[in-house]
Amino acid sequence: MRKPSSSFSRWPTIVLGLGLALAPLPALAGVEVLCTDLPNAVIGVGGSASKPLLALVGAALVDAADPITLVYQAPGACFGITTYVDDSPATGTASYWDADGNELTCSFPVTGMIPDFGMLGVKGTLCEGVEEIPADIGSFSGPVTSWSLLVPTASSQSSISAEATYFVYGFGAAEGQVSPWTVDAELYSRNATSAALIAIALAAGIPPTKFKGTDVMTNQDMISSLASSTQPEAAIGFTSTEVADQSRDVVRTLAFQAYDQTCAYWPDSTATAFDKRNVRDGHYAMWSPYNFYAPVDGGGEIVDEETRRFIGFFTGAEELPPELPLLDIIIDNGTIPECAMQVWRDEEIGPLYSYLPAEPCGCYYEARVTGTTECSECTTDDECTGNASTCRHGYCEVQ
Amino acid sequence: MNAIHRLAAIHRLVLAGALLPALVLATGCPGNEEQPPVADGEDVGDTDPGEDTDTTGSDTEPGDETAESTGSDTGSEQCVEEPTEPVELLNGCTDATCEPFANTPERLPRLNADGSLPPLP
Repeated sequence: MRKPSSSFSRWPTIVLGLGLALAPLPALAGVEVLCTDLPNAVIGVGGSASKPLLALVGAALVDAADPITLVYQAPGACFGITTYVDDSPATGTASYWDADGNELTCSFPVTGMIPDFGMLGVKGTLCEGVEEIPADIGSFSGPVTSWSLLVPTASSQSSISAEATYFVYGFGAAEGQVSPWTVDAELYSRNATSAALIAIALAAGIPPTKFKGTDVMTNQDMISSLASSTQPEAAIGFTSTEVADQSRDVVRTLAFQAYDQTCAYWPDSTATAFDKRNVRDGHYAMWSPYNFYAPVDGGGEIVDEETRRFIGFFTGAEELPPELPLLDIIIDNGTIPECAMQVWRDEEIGPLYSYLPAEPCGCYYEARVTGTTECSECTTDDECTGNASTCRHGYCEVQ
Repeated sequence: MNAIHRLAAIHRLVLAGALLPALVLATGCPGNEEQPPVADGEDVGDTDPGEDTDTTGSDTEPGDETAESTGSDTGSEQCVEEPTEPVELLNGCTDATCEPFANTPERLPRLNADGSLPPLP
């Protein structure tokens, strides 16, 4: 949402209890900031899984030379597409971030608004009631997230199979009879608008609308519910792995054994690593790329200029500003850039195939997350020999 | 690997130039051959129902049979050396840590007698 660049419009309108005033700070206690008044606001709606990533991106962009104020509301992933399919405006409050990463709150107009973009951890067509993506809405792929089945750290459990997940979440804890997850009150879940639920449902073979458990509403509330469980051995839930990784002090990702898999693997090479090796090479089955949705013109170009910039940073269509080290942000957040994947799939949680990205960054990814790589360092292609002949991000890649 | 997993793998090697890719034809786990569920008529999951998991050891020779896995926390011993098919990629050899989950009647009491999954309620 491009706003006039006058100094006046760079500050949000502050609505005080008894009147209107302008103030130099965007979020003061007891005042309401209108999201649409924020400078160059790009307003999104979708799942809570991506909120940590957007927080980092938002903090980097808000004080950039050509700033964007990233605003995000996370009522559930499927709202990121149904707002366009149903033409249903978003209402209430949303989050935005200052340059220090502090989360602030703004309000949508009281009549609601159609957001600039939607963001889902699964394809929008997997959402209930979405038969197809409207012709005037473009789909754009983002980085990969994985999905974690979780237990409290006080639990002794460390792995689960797709079959066990089928019983636990398909029948319910008590009916499913998979010890120790047999207490219905400790079966934490989401509703069918959740990308995490949809992805795990696909992996377990459960129709999303038949998924059992108590809906805790958001990824962050799932962590809180598990952390405060009074019966941790019986407790189980799920979030995006990036959210889980930020809370390893209170929750633990279970190794997952997919159908036809002979062993259960963590998203990372070990239970304590952060390298996402098993996602990247296909041993961990529960992953999917984020999907952005935004209104487009007849040529498929995103209509709103600032939204086009923002999504273009992820797709590579826009040059990254120096203030936005997006590859590092994606990696550090626990998400995986497409360029670091060694397998891919064309349908959500569908069959895998070997994958060589057009511009691989696997060496850089490994070096960034583990501090080491077997790849050769380089500054130019001339320093790369053999099969790894192309210098990318400081390392010799195969192309 | 747990006791009810009986592995009967037949390995075939295909010599192509200097490469020696191992191609494993079949792995059977009678009595514990769960298929991806067909829930409400939907076939979901990564693989075709009943598709066998191809496996190979790290030092296979023509005609070798992979011994029954006795359990491992570093990759699966029932692994594929050079995976290409979807199920092979899930079971590719790796030095990553893994932990088998035993899909046994003891752990999953609601399994059908033949090891298949019952329909959802």
